[in-house]
Amino acid sequence: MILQPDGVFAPNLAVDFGYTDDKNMRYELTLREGVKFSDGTSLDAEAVKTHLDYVRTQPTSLAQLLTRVANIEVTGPLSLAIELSESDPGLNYAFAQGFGVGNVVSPTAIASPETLDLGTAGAGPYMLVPEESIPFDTYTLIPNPHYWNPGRIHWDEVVVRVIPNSSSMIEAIRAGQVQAAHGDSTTMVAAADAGITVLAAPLLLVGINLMDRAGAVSAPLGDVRVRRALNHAVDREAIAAALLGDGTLALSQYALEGHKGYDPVLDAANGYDPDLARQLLQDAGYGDGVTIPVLDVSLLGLDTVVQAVAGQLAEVGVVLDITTAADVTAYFTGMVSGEHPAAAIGYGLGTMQTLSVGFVDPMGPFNPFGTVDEELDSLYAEYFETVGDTSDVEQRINARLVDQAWALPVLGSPLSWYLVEGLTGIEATSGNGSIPTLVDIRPA
Amino acid sequence: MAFLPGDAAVSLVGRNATEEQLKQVREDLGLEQPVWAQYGQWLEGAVRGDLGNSMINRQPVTAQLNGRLAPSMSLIVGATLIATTLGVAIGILGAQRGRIGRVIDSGSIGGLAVPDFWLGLVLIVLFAVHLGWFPPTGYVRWNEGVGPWMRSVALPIATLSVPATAILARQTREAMSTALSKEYVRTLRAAGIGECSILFRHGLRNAAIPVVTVVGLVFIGSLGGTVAVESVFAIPGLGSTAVHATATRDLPLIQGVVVYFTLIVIVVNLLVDLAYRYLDPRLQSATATDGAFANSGAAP
Repeated sequence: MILQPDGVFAPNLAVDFGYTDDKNMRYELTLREGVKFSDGTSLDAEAVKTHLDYVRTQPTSLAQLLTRVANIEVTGPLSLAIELSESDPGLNYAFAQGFGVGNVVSPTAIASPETLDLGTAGAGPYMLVPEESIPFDTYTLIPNPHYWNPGRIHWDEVVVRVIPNSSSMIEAIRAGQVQAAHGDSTTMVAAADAGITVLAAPLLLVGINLMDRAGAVSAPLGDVRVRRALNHAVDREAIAAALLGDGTLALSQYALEGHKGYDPVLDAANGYDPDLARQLLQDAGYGDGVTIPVLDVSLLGLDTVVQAVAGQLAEVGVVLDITTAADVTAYFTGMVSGEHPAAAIGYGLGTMQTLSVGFVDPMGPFNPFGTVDEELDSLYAEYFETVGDTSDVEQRINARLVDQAWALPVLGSPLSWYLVEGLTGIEATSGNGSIPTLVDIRPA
Repeated sequence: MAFLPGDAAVSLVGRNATEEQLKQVREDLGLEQPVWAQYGQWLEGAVRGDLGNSMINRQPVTAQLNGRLAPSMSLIVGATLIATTLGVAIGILGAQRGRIGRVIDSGSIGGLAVPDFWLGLVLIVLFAVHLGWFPPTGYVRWNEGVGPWMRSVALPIATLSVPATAILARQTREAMSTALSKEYVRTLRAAGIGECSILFRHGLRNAAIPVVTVVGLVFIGSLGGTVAVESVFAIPGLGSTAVHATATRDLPLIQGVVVYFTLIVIVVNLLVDLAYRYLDPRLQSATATDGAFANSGAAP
């Protein structure tokens, strides 16, 4: 299915889908008739079961989205039922474009997985040409002759280039070599100045993850008053205006405007109040100042945000002792090592389940100290079993995270896309997680 | 690399992986074995010409690096040729005129001080965006057309050439100044030998050995320069592969890049040594004499 810009799931390979019980423990889907993979194999219920079983057993992050799946049953040539061991309202999101579990692979290729090292065997509108592709540099795609909806194929050939230097990428667009690109917050202003169409919607919670909530490595962080003080000491709007050119991208909570969990009241409750921050530090016994070690990395502008935050925290007597990881791998390894009590964070927001998988779950990588909060667990249990509108319980989860100051959110950083004049088809909103379906890029 | 934080398993499985998943992948990749055991296995294959498979995409390292050798060598050879031509010419010119020499010295320092990633971006803006003469990024294989290939490597070569030219100009000027100040040059001039002949037949030949040494060093130095330049111009060469492999902790690929770089350095040093023999007849006669002594010493 496709998560549309309005936040509604639309049929794609599955024409009918959803939970059929009152506890989000049984999910059924019906597949589109007559669909084939690019290798000519039919896409039927058996093929989808083979794909899902394969994904579940692979050591990848996709398998994490299916950990609650207990059994997959083929109930007809084009219909399946998925039984869950625990309530899980997130299967629609897992199957849509953001996570991509629904990008079904042909069972023929799954039987010989080495064919997937350099090739593709999916059911999408394009397929890879391995001999014209260079791993990590160039990927050439041509139309899939078996695609079920030829009207969605707009190009005879699509070449995806990896341009590691973001400034070079902007110049490549200006020179007419590149027509569409995935941007980032560090080049958005330059891209707009260069006359490139910038499509962006907030997606990432960017700030500092206050991970050591029991004070195992950094005693001050074990005191919730210190964590709250940090949140009140930062003028997020000023940082958003300075770094992203837009003060409205400031973020004080764990959901974005448009999400079910968003509550405007929390912005005020967690707002900038340096006097309150000083008072909280005084109450916690750190009136003379405190030093907090923080791990950061030069990725998505995280290091810049941490430096900006450090400048503001210094005003209330908090010193950030910043360690910058050499690269992304070193950052993730350092973050999960349990040696760093706080770390820069860039985390994609969506539903409260999205937040649960990596951030709230004590096994999640962004919760390396394994913090458990009983009230939060109780709220999540209620949320997972809620069928229908989950806004109320999602907002209460959000409020609990703000109250316990699990992190120091600073920006709702956008995921951005750049398009040259004459092209359309990208709709990036908070509703679709700012992840459009790129195959829909087409002449205006 | 083995002692840096993180490994290929983290890159492969992603940040949401559990410890169990990471353990399984580490076992599959052989990362659970001691470093010396991993190295021993790799060495055993390497001596047979098998550099193993990438941990990330499981493709043979040799095949991947062979495909990336041509882009890097295009840049390095091109930059060395241009730097040698321009650097030697500027150096000879500077050796004759005092004021030009000072200008060349200043220019050399400027050329060395310019960061290559910055220079690359400036050249892209000027020659690709505004003038449209060259593509801003990417590499076209020579068998897809010599013209497009030359256009694709022109700006990266120019970027790599600037510091190399600066080094060679300065070295050539000093070597030529030294050669031209020798007694025999005065004698040649007194004998009425033409200035061109003095410069090129006598002066340059005598100055050539230090210059050739620096040409070799420039070539080897350009290997390091490709790391930044290939990233700026998005060229799939050895330098960008080294960056990518390091970021993903792809140990076999990193080891492969090191082997390729080492082989290139050995070949270049060998060529430089052979050039010494060609440029300085005394080395040839010394070797011949050594051989004659050795032969006579071995005789009963």
